[in-house]
Amino acid sequence: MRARRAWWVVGIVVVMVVLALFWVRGRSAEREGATRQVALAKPPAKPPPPPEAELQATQPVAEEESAETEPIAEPEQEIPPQIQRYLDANVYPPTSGRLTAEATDLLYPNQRYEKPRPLDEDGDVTFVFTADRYYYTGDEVALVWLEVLDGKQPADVDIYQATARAEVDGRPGGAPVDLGLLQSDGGRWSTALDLAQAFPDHHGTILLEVAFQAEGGEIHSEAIRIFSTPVDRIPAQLSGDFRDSADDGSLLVEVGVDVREPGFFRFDANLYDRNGEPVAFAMFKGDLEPGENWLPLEFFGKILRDQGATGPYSIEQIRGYRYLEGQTPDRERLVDNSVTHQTSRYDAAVFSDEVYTSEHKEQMVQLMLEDMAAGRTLDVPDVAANSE
Amino acid sequence: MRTSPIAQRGPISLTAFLFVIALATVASAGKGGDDAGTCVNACGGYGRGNNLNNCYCDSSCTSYGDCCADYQPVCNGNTGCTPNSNGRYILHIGGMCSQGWNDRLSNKSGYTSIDVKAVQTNHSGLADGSHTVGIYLNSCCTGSNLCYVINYSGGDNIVGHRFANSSTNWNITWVGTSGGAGGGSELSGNSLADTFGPCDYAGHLGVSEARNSYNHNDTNNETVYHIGGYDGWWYSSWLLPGEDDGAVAYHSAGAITSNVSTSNLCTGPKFTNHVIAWTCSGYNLDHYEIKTHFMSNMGW
Repeated sequence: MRARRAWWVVGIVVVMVVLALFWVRGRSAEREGATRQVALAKPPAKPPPPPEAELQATQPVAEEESAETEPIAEPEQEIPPQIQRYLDANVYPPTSGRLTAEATDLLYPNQRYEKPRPLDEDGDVTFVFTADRYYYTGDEVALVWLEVLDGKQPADVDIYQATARAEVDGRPGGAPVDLGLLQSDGGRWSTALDLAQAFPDHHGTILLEVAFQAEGGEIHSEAIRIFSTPVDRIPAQLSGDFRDSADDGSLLVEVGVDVREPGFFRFDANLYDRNGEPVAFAMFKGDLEPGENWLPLEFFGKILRDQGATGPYSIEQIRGYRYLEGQTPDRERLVDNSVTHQTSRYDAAVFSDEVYTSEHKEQMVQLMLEDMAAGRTLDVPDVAANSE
Repeated sequence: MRTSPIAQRGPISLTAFLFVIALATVASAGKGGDDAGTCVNACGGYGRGNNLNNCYCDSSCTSYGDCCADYQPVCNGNTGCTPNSNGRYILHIGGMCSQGWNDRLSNKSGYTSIDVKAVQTNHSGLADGSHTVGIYLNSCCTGSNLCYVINYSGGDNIVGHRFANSSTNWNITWVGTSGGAGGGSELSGNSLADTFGPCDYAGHLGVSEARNSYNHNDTNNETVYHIGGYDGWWYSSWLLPGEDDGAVAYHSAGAITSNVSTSNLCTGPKFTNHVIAWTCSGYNLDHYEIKTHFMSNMGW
């Protein structure tokens, strides 16, 4: 991707040379059809042109080898719609995408999703049992609450059980810890669960269970989970150092990370424009060594251009974990913190408006062309009319 | 606050019980069901997990006939695919509590259908299943090979988790999902899912757990097509927000970024690279019936 611009230029030059040869040698009335087309669709030695250019380049070359003196037609070749669908989905790289105000899962990571639900089919009495987040790290305290309403008023509730249990191998293990829910004036039953005290060595999910009776009805039991990474399992921390630059048409933000445990890490971050509007997200997935690392987050240039985003930009909601392949629990989380970074001022023109290209994208187009040439249909589902 | 033990079970508990039974009936197969053993991190010995089917992961298990379902892919790398062979494959990834697809496979000319033996147990369904799916993807969908991926219910979570925790760009044309549980199910929040029934893993598909367990916007740029059903079961539908198939609501089947109540799969913003296929209104099918409908629509 760093050589993207150069590849485009060379690709265009290649196309122009091919067209020039075509004009000199004339063209054939016979075509070799799809088989030949596929052969020519193999990526050129170096550098490979982008898929769109490649497809445009195939036909003139095919005609070159069977030259006759027919009138010259435009070497037009439509991209098959199935492949166009693939290309449309790959305008941006896999590691960076548009961020909108509707992407609430990214704007508010680590949120809970429990909502008030009816206790029975009549729906008069509703309840919600939830916490203030899903992941907790180090000495963070979990705020947990149960709220039961009869209409809009607090319901008369008897609580029979309110416990927390660490889970081992997917099932509760160890003695349950009493949550000690206390009712506030507003009727909500709540507690602050000090995980470092209650489960100092536990890494993984913790099952929170309640059983209660509201307005004399049936006893209802409910369970939710939270995830705890104890302090001695925190694999890394942000150093607070940042640097940013316009790099090959994109915005490169490097985040200082002090790594304690090496391994495969995943990091995510959001980018906002100078007005605080969400613009783009970026992710990092890869191996990190112990010690100080500069974590590269590339916010793709075309996204910044498409979004009309003006800087300086703000990098926020930086979160990450060390992934533990094939293990449960499957991650060690870094502390969610409020570290943010404001970038330098950038003229939007320094960012590229070009689509993402990669060897893998080239290869996928080639494989699909091969399928068509071999008579295997390229099946693609219809998209529902209003699907966003 | 009283601390007496629970002596009664309310209607929601009954619902959850039926839910896990139903899903287990749909999804599980093979001895052990949700408590089946897995060979992930257990090659050469006794299967991991609760392993109520007493399965093994050593070389003699093939002689004794007591291998765990994922023995061949996990311990031998045998997926049924030939790596980098210009192969064409359709991978089928089953739902929660399953040890494979356990249904008819796709029939597409020029393509070989693969039953992905990903064991999803209450022990560690997501991480184990994701690991095994990674073995299949590396074997079947790299080099000169090309794949389609078809998944169902909890298979949605498995595939999403795999994408989010890998840096490999697999050769996948697209992913098709039926009744996806990536957004979680409100039925999963009852403790009965953890203490009764053969499908305890269902208890790990709560909405908060499912939505936080991986970044749903990371598909390695693969387009994920979704379909959903609206023939919800009477004993569960009133607990799920909006329209549902009896196990998952439209917010999950429709890959919507929040768990909104909706009767239209196309309503609400989608996770990046997730789209609805064919119809916004869904199909008059329940969670059982929707499983193979994606394949049927494709003519496979």
